[in-house]
Amino acid sequence: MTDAEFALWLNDEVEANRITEGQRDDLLGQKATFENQRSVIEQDHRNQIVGFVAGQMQVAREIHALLDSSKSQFPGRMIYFEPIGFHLL
Amino acid sequence: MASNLGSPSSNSSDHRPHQVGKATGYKAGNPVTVGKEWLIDTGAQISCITKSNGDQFDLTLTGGSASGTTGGGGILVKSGLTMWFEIFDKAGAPKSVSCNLDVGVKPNNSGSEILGVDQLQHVGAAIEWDPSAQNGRLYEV
Repeated sequence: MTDAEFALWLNDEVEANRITEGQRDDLLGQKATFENQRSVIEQDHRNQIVGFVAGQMQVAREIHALLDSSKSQFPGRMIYFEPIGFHLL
Repeated sequence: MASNLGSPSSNSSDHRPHQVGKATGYKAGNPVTVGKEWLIDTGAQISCITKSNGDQFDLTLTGGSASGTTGGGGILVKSGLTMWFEIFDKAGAPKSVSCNLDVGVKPNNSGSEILGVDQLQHVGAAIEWDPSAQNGRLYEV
């Protein structure tokens, strides 16, 4: 999914009142932070899941561990993540 | 062996394990229950539902990814959904179990409603599946 497709999807979610503008902007902001460091992330974190929440990098081997850690540290903030070198499903 | 898994009702030639269950949550403050046929996917770290399934509930966004799924699709991770399915307990009796871990929501309605290893692990269940015979079971460990 391209950046544009992802942003369009989030815009559709906002228009359908499934998420807020603030959630959309937060998630896109975390994605932008991820993209700025993508080359280093892909080099250093093979076979891990890397996310950003509130501008902070989070790394885990299991998605729910990443989500739980992120939510406990930054309640209410959005987490943008990608598995590096593998698929979640 | 008693079985609680089988081929999908819509396609008997699909040799992957499926089970009829349900999803529960809320919409506009009212409880909602929707019958679903889960694909038991031991290759999925996170359970995932289609867009139309997710739209039937008021779910809370946790995060998301533009990548990470086979085929390059993205997912949005949301809380507020409970997935129900059946396992055999240690005595061999059927038992309904539920799990409310965050789920992934697909951007479209392609593919299956996926019950992943996260939910099996959460309820302490394992799977046996014979793709040739198209039967098997989820059971308590």
